[in-house]
Formats: sequence, structure tokens, C-alpha cells
Amino acid sequence: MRRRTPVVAAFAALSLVIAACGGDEEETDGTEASQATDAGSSDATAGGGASGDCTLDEPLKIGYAADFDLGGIGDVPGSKGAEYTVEQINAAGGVGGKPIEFEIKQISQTPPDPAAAQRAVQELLDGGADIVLGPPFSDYGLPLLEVTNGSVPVLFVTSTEITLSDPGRGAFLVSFDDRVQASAAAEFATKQGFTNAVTLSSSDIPYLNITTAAFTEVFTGAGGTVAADLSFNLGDTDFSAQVNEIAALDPQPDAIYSAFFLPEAGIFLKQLREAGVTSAVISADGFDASEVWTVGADAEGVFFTSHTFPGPNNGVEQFLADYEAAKGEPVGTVAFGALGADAVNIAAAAASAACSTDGAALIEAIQNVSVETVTGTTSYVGVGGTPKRDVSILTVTDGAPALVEAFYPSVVAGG
Amino acid sequence: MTQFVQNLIDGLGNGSTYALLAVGVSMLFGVMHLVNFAHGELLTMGAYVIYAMRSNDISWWVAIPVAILSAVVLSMLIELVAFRRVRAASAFTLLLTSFAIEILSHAAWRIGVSSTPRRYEAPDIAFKVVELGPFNIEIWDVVSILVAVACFVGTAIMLRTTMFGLAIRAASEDFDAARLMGVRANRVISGAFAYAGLLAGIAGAIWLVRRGQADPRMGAEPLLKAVIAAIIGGLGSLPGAVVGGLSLGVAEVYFRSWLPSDLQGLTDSFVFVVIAVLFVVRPQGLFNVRTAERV
Amino acid sequence: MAADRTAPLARTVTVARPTVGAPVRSQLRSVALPSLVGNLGFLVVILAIGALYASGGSSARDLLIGDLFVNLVLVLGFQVFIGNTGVLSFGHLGIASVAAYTMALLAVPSDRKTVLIPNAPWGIPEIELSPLAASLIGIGAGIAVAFLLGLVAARTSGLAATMITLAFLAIVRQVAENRKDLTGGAQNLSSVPRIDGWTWPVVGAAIAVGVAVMFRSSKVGRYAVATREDELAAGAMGVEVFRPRLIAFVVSGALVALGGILRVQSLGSIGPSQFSFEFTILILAMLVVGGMRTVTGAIAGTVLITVGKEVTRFLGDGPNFLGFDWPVVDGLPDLFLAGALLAVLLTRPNGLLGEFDLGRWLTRHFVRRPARAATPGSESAPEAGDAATADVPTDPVVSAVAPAGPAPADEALTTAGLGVVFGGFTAVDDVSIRVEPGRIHGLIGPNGAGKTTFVNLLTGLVEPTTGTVRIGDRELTGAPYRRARAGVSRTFQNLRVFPALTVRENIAIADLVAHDHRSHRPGVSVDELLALSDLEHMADRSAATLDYGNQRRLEIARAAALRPDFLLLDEPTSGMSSAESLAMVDHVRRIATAIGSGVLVIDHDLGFITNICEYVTVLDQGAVLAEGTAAEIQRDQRVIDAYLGSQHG
Repeated sequence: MRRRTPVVAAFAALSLVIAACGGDEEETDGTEASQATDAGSSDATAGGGASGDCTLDEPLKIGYAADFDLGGIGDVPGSKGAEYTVEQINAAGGVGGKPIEFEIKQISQTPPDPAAAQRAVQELLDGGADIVLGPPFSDYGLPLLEVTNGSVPVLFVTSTEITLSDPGRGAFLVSFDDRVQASAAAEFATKQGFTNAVTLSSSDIPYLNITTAAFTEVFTGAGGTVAADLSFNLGDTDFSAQVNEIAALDPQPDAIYSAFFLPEAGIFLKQLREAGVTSAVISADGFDASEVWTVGADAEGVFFTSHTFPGPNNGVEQFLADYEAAKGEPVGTVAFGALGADAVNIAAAAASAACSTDGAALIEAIQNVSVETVTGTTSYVGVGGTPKRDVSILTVTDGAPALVEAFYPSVVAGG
Repeated sequence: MTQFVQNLIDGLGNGSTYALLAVGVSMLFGVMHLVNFAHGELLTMGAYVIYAMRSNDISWWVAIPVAILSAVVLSMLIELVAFRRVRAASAFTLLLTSFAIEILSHAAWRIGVSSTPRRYEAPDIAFKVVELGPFNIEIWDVVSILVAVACFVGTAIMLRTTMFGLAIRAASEDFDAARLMGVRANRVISGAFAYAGLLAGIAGAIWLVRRGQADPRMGAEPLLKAVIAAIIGGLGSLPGAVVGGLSLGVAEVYFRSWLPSDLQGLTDSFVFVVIAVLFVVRPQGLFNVRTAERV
Repeated sequence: MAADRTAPLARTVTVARPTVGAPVRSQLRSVALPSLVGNLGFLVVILAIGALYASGGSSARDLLIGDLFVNLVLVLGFQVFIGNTGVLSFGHLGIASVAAYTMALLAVPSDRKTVLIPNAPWGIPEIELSPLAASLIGIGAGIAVAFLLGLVAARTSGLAATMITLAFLAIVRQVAENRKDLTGGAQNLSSVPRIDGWTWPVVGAAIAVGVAVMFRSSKVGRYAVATREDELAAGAMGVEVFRPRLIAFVVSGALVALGGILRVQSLGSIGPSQFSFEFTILILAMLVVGGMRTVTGAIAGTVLITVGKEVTRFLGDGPNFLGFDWPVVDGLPDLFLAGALLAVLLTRPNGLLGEFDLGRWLTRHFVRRPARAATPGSESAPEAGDAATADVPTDPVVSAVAPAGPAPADEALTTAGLGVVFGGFTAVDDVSIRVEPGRIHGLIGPNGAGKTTFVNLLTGLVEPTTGTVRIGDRELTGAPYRRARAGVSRTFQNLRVFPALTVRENIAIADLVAHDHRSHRPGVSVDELLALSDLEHMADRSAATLDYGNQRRLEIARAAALRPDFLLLDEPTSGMSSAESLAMVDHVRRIATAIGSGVLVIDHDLGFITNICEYVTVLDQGAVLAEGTAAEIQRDQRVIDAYLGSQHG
């Protein structure tokens, strides 16, 4: 891991500009913006002049390698957020005096075909992509990295998989990784006075077991006990076996931790509450889809770790409102759409900072950049491929998420 | 002991859904030697119908019958458009045809609706639990089991008393002979698809009420379980399919419950080991329906 | 009169000297070579087009060509087993998974493994082999697993084998997901050394084509095909089911292991989801779209699906292409796959190419066809150039003119107290008969008398409850194929030719078995049998296209090619007119004389039996009712009663 002295001054100025483009241009019209994307530099307005100390020879090209299948939970809102942000930046003059070019390529197929995904990414590169935005899961993410192989930076927009954080190969997460959010969940649980927990994991995808392992490590490290680690499979529609096992525990666990999402989370919660188990339930960022909160009364009081929360210190609320105004529909999640916007902002900041679209230069620039993004400050300075960001603990109240607290865990599992 | 009985109830609840699907799969195998992997797509159809109706606030009492009806219609349509044309082909061709329809269905929902799941809220009854002595009985498990039993009894009566049932049984025993004896092949097969579709629709209704979500590929997994159940029972044997479905459901719950925590993730593997051993010992499945091959 | 008819026909027959191995060698010359040349040529054409395509643009094209050839290895791997045995396996990718994981665990650099899987057992983090060595060990592991799985799967057939292999696939995947310390679990294991360009995939594909072609032409491959066509008939011809299937399973397992390793090395990472049931279906789709029974078909299907999916993936992203702005469609490649598969299955259920093989087609059209002699006696010239006959061995032994049929074997076929009870019903009860060598013996009885069951008891299809079967002193026991090799071959009441094989190949398979197990007996060459059966002009048609009478004669010829001590004919004239029956009488005699075997003819037609046989046994309700010479039987009152009774009752 390369450690560099923060070279903040210049970047901070830049980032503020970019944040301004990304967050505050509320009057931007979606149609105009997309025309700007297509029409090239002629529409560049005064806004572009703000990054005037750099003029790029070629427009910055961003390619989004999107998994709309299993990874759709992240990449559907993520790509919407990214595309919208590109439109906004371009309406404000683009980067380095030129509008950003943006292209989405689908990499998911049935059956999953990582070879086809590699070709799609190669096409993005051959088409001149300077930065690739990547999918949430490593089954596509790792083959993707084999193609880019350090030639261009890859920002994994909504991924929390630690294997995809590899700055040596130009691979970065936009937010924290699973061990961080699980450690935060464990620390939060400890702070609530919980001493006895049960975890629910699945080996189907790493997300569902790396989180529980990290939770267990930190929670037991803080003196708690994890009474059982129960398993499930994606696609299960009956959790009575697991629920009955929890119901039979004596003492009853204070908390149940799992990174599950819909539809499994909804069924589990209903069965759990019906069985009379009143333990607190703590989940992870996959719970951040608006439908989850509306599972009904059973989702009330569920805690989950998330990347961000709309508040005075960030532009999330503004972003969500702007998006809905421009597109006529909500992004659908609090965090993932905003992370898509963040990824584009990071890319733009890096290109401005490096004043280049060269892959190696961009990779280096990203590692030195500290950007005011939609969700707050994102910085890779001194942290490798995973920015150090606070974990927001949210809870579902009256069918909507509410912030409990946000902090960076004092102990991170495995690190 | 309490745990044992509790698991049994849970297992039978799951197993009854498998069994309903498996009976349809087995029946279709009986009449045309088809292992129909497209059968699960009837569930997907039902799910989207329920989603469409529930998101327009149409009552469950309407949504469920319409979903079942849509499964019946789709089943007959698939037979008419696809399977009728390959009826004389090898079992392998038929199998692959059913896979093709399955993939087509996935793609169609993905393109026509979205790969993002569509959600609807499950009714409260789907998760209600009553405590009966030491047992937590889920109402919906009881409903599933009762509905399934009613379907099995109904099917048994239908097979014994109606001309259609007689034709199905005759065709299952010897398809060529049945045709020679004047059983109208098209009608019998179309009828079998409709009946299998009906059972799948009912199984789907039971399952979907709880699931609360429609997505393009949802039908594949329960169908795979049903096919396994039907083969365990001995393809073509309807009682076998019932036994196969119930035992698969029960086995899954018991394995999950008995395996130590670090082996729980391997539940399916243990079930599969049992299945593999079963087929080594009894290659024809539990119930032998293979009609004596004349040589 | 009876004596007249049994006199050896004054007809010259060619007696093939026992020449073990000769058919296989000539088979390799006549079929394997053209097929090898044809299919490798096909590969070269694809390679040339691919190179042209790749030279014109994006390096994504290079990836596509590599992927195409990797797919070819996998599809041909499946083809070797499924195409030749007709048994559906869902488990082959499980073998590929084991092989690829073995390779990856050995080849991933040690410094990466200490990070990715520090707790792996057996000192794996310290091991670091070259990719080639690791690949070879991986293939070895694949072969070992294929052998063990094959021991189980090849013993069963039909759906049981399919279920066992499916279970295997599911178990391998789940273990790979759960043994995170070893495999990295669903998180995937990265840093697998990647192969550059498409040299290795092309080499792999060429190897796969070679192996698939050679296997199809090999003796064991042809036995496997016989069991695919008709397991019972194959057994009756002395073809064992288990061994050819096991070998096919292991050979295809080796190819699939190679394919899995190449795929992982192209991707640079490995994960449990790469070897899924869904991917198995995709491979099967590639296999059936072209036609799973030939190597050419497998290649064509692979190219079609791989390229088609790539084109639709390109179009699905909504490019501006051919002056048209395509809409963005989510999942277009999946729609293409389903559409292509469905369209092919509905219109051409055997695949686009069916039984077409490029090698055979090339030889038929471009290789000079040697002149064929008009008389059957001289028809044994080498026929390497004849595409149509390329299926079959040509016997290199120069025809010798025998003055008469060979001497019959000197041992009689006897049963002692043979009986079987099916769930309380005595189908055959204490039957003892003696069929003299070289004689034609009739077994007659009304419908339901137990005649066919008796033949099934003789040939081992049904295990007897009591009694024994002997030829001379040798007791016949065990599975049908053992008894066939021991000297009894049969025909079936309801005709069981190998439908998709040519007439010649039908006979040649029995001839192959004879070379291995019946070489002490004189035999008649395949060509002579064709001539004797009036089938020579249709030798290269598939058996399914023959009419009823020809199929009957083919079945008899096939049974005769086994050089049996005794031919058992189950109702050879059923469904024939009396003129046809008379011709059949002559035919059976001619064949029996030519190979010097005894014959047991089962029929319910009293006239036919007394016409053809010197000695007759009458069965009624599973027991011997009467026996004697044809003349005696015709006068026997009990026989007459049984017959009239059965015909009017």
C-alpha cells in the first residue's frame, strides 16, 4: 500500500467545484443534459470554465460495466445515478473543457458468463474508456480486473467486496467494504448493550458470509457471544427451521445479524416476529432498497448499516430530489444511486487533478484525491483502495429509514 | 421429540408444494415421456399476475384464482406451440425443448418487465403462527398441507372415475398402445398439461402468497426440486411423486436442523448424497412404474 | 421333405479367418482418417475466419475467438459421452470444476495464496507449480474423479445416471462455496495465471476434435453407440453396457477437465458459480443445436451459439449499427439462446446437421470411389474411399471359397428344469429341452405360452427361478452379453435393429464382438452377410429406413455375425404373408448353414415351424406339452387341442 502525504490544497479547491457541479445545480433539465452528452463540446457553458486551470486534449470517457442481473440491486440505481451526474457535469461545462462521454455495457447473462463480461469490458477499453465503473460482485468483478489489468482505474460503484479493492491494479471501492460495515454493526450492537447474538449467513455470495464472520469477530472481541451461525440459501421462502431454532434458544439473543436482503429478509422477519422472537435485527447495506422498508410492520425497528444518509452534511437529499425532478421517478435507494454519482465525481476530480485521461495518471490521481461527493468527502489518501468513510446506522421508522448514528468503527475485523 | 415433530410439520409444509409440482411433472412424463423443466415457469406467470393485480389493489380472493387460471392457460399454450411439434422426438429432445422454453420465459420477463424484482405485500395470514402445546404451527403450513391433500385425493378420484383419468393411466402404462386403442392423443396430452398446470397454479399460489416478489428466474429452483422429487418417486408414478416431494421437503428440514452449524451450508449436498445413493440402489426410483418392456 | 430342406445350400460363402483387431484397424483407416481430416479442416476454416475477424479490430475479438475454442473443448467433451452413449449427464462441469480448482490451487503464485487462502490445508499456500504442470495434474484429478463418478453413473442408465450426475454437480458447487479456506468460496480465487492469445485454446480444441473422432471410430466407441441405440439389443449382441460407458465417461471427463482448465486460465479467476447447472444447459444447447451425434455437429452448434450470443450481446447494448440505432434490450443474448434452441428443436429435432459428418461427406464427394464388383462374392476390396461404407470395417482377409458351410459346433444347447415365477405367476415351468448342434429346432405354442419368456431365460434377460442353461458342459450364466459371447445370439419379436446406424454398421458391431470373443468359430464376413441377406444395395442406409422384411433379415444377419453356436429367432415371420414366410424359411436355413450354427426358432405358426424344423417342442402355459419330429407334432392331439383352444378362447 502506497502512502502519500496528502496533497490537499489544490485538490480541495477542485473537488469543491466538482461537488458544486454534482450537487447543487438543481435547475438542470434532464433532456438538455442528455443533449449535451450527445452533442459534444459546443454546449459547454461557463460552468466548465471553473475547472479552467486544466484543458483536456480528449474528453474523459467513462464506461460502466453493469450487472443488471443479480447485481442489479446496486447497478440499476448506480448506473442511473452515474448517468445523471454525467449529464449534470456536462451541462456545467464538462471536465477539462470537454463533456464527459459515458457508455453503459451490460456484462450479465444467463447463465453468468464472465468470458462475455470480459469482452464487454475489453470493448469499453477499445472504445477509449479512461475509467471503468464496475459491478457489485466479484464473480464479474475479478474477471473484469483481468482485462483492465491496471491500464485504467476501475471504480466498483456499489461493491463492498474487499477482493475488489486493489489499488495496485487500479481497483477501488467507492465506499467501505463489508468488514468495515459489519464491524460497525458489531460495535453498534455492543454499544446498545447487546451481549448475545445470532448470525444468519449464506455461502451463496461472499457478501452474506464475510459480513457475519466480521461481525462475529468484533462482537466476540468486545465480550459478546454469538450463540449460533445459521445458514440459508438465496431463494429460500421458508425460514421456519432457522426461526424455530432461534425461538428455542435460551437465553434469547439480544440481536440477530445478517446481511440478507429481499425477498429472503422480508419472509424471515415476518416469520421471526410471528414466532414471538423480539430480538433486535441488524442488517447491512443490501437492506437499503426502498421496498425493504415497506415490508410492513415487521421491518420497523430493524437496524442496518448504510453508506450514507440524507442530512445537512451531504448532498444526498438534494441529489435524490434533483434526480426525481429531472427523471420523473425516484432512484429507488438512498445510497446506491448516490454512490453512482460519487463514482463519476471521483473520476471527474481525478481527471481534472491529473489533467490527463491517461490510465496510469488517473490511477495515481485517484489515490491522491479527496473529493466532496454527494455522500460526503471521499478520499483514498493513505487508505489504499477503500475510502475511509463513516458507516451510517439506520433504522426503519414508520416505513422509512432514519439515522441513528454515523461513525467509523474503532476496531475493524481482519485488519 | 418436540423438535422432531416441529421439523416434520415444517418439512411437510414445504414438501407439499414440491409434491404438487412433482405430480404434474410426473403426469407429463407419463403421457409423453417429457421431463418438463418449463413447468416452473407457470409459477413465474402466476407471480406476475398476482403482482399486477395486487398493485392495482385487487383482492387476493380474485388474484389467486386468476393466477391459477393463467398457469393452466400457459401450460396448455406451451404444449400447443412447442411440445406438440416434438412429441415423437426422443426424450432428450423433449427435455432440451423444455429448457429452451424456460430460458425463453426468463428472457421474456426480463425484457418485457424488468430483471429487477417486482414486489407485493404478503397477506398477514401467510405468516400467522398458533401455539399448540409445545409446537409453533404456522397456519400457512396447515393450509398448504390441507390443500395439497385435497388435490391428491381429488387427483386419485379423477384418475379412477373419469374417462380422462382412465386415458391418462392407459397412456402412462403404454403410450403407443393407448393411442392404438383409440385414446385421442391430442386431447389426453392437452388435458394432462391443463391438469398439471392447475396443480402448478395451486402450488404456486401457496408459495407466492408468502414470497412477496416476482422475478424472471424465480421458477427454476422450485421446479428443480419438483423434478428431483418426481424422479425420486419414480417418474410416471403419481403416488411416487407425492412421496418424493414430501420426503424431499422433510429431508431438507431435518438435515438443516441436525447438521452442526459449520456444516449447515452443505445441507443440499447431504440431501443430494442421499439421492445419489438412492439411485445407485434403486435406479428406477422409489416406485417402479417402468412398464415391462416387451422383447 | 424335411431332410431336403436341411441340406446345405450349394452356395459359396466367404469364411473369414479369425483376425482379431483387424476390424478396428481398418475402421481407423476408413473412418477416423477422413473424419479427422474433415473436422480438423473445419476447425482450420473457423480459425482462419476468426483470425481474419480478429485482425480487423478490437482485442475483444481475440477474447471471443479464445472463448469459442474453449467452448469447443467443453462441448466436444460432453459430446463424447452424451452423443455416443445417449445417456444425459448433468455432472460433467463438476469434473471440470474439480480439475480447474486443482490447477488453480497449484498454479496461483504462492505470495497471492498466502493472502487469499492463508489457511488452506496440505501446505497449498507454499506450493507454486508452472501453469502447464498444474494443468496436467488438474486433468489427472479430473480423470480420477470422472472414473469414480463413472463407476457409479455408468452402472445405471437413463434418468438414474442423470440424477446421480446432477447430484455430483450440486455437491461440488456447494463444497467449493463452503470450503472457503481451500477455495476462497464464492468470493472467487483470483491471480490464476492467464493464457495469452488463443494458441492454447486452439491446441485444446484440436486435441478435443482428435479425441472425439478417434473415440467414435474406436471399438469401445462403437460399442457405446450400440448401447445408445438399443441397450437390450446391444447386450444380445455381446456388447457390454458398463465398460464402454465408463470409458466414454472418463474420456469425456478428461476433455471437459481440459476445457474447464482452459476456461479458468482464460478468465484469470475461478469461482463456484462458473460451473453451474445453467452453464451445463448452455453447453448442452450448443451440443444439440448442431447435432450431438457427430463431431461436426458439435462444432457447428458451438460456433453458432457462441457467435450468436456475442452478436446479440453487442446489439443489446443499443449500438448504432448498420445505420440503425438499436434499442437497448436487457437480456437479448438469453432471448437469442432460447429462440435458436427452440427453433432448431422444433424444426430439426436431431440438430441442424443430424447425422452429418464432414469427414464422411468429403470422402463421399471428393475421394475417388473404387469400382465395385457386381457379384457379392468378390466384394471385399478395400473401401477406404467409399464414404458410405466408411462406417464399417472392411475385412482385409482375402475371400476363400468354401465348398460348403463349416462344420457345426459339436455341443448341444440344453436346458434343465428351467422355470421362472413372476410374483406368484409361473410363466415358465420346469422346461428341459435339447437343441442339437447344427439343427433347426422349433419352439411353438399359443400366445401367452411363455415362449418369449423362455428365450429371455436362455439369453439372460430374465433371471430363472429354477434350472440351468448349458452349451455342452458350459453353463450359461450372468448378463445377456456374457451369454451372447458364450454362444447364443438372438433376434427380437418386436425388431430391435440399431435404428440410426447404417445396415452395414449394425452387422459390423456384432462382427467386432465376434472377433474378440467368438474367433474360434468360423464366420462370414460382413459383406457376405449383406449379400446373403439381400441387403447389399442398401448397406449404407440407416436401418430405420428399411421396410419390415428387410429389418427382419438385418436382425438375423446381425445375430449371425456374432458367430453363435445357436441362433435364437423370436417369431421371425410375425406379420409376414405366407409367401414371405416361405422365403424366410429359406433364408434362415441359408444363414444357419453359412455359419454352421444350430437354430432355435420360436413361433406360434404351426405351419411355418413344421416347415422349417426337424424337431419341435410345444409349450403351453409355460410347460412342455409335447415334443417330437415335425410330423409327430402335427399329429399330436394335445397340440391340436391347445391350438384350437387358444385360437377360439
